[in-house]
Amino acid sequence: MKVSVRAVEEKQLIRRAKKGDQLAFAKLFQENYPILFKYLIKVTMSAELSEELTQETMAKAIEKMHVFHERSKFSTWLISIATNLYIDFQRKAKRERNWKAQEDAYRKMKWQVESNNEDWNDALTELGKLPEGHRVPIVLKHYYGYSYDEIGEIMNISSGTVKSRVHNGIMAVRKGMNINEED
Amino acid sequence: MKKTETNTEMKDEVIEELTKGLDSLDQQAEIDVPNINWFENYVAEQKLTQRKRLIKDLCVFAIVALFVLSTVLFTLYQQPYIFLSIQTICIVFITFYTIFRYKKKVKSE
Repeated sequence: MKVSVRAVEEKQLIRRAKKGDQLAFAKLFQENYPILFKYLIKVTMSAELSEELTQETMAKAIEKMHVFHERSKFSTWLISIATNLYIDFQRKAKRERNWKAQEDAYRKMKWQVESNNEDWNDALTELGKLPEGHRVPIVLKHYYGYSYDEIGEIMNISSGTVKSRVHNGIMAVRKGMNINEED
Repeated sequence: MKKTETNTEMKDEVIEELTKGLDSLDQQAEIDVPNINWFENYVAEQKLTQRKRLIKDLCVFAIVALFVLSTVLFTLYQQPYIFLSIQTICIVFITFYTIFRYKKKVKSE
């Protein structure tokens, strides 16, 4: 019951935001800020980049609100925008060969996790080594529980491609972790 | 059959480890959610920036469109052979570019 009330409230806020209500936009963003930021932390493994992309995602959402058809939850739509912004960012970084800044951010994140007595395991290290085209669908599928079709829609690729990327990504992580059949 | 089962078990083990790792990332992420006023100001600021950008883009588009149109009309009436050459080059370029993009997209998927 609580979920449906929230869903109704969200729908009302979306309708008001579409009409240009700034307070409705603000409420939607405030509600979804932690979800978006935490998602980006998992795929970028950088707090600075996550913050930057969270703000860029909100800016894009304001611009594209009129094309949001409410077929999915607002948070899923934001995740979709954030994913595409991150993929574009990575493409640009590869063109500019901007590796060092990303590696520094990754090391900082690892240090932060370990200094908080949390576990930075081998699987996370191997996940960080994967290209974003494989890392993102793995996080969406196995952490957030999205279906292959939904991930395909989020990333603008076919569900078959998503399936093979998730499979290959998991196999690469397994190989990196040295989990062999003989073990 | 046995090999498939072993593979699935190993896959599950990897997924479990991944979930554990991602959970620790989730828990340690320090989120300082700004207050509602900050979000309202951000929305207002973004709307203003986007409006300014739209006006600028429309102006640039109009100027470029006028320039292209006047060039096309000039070549069409004064030098038709240049007009036809440009048209042919454009068609060939668009065809090859579309094929190249399509092949690249299929390859990347």
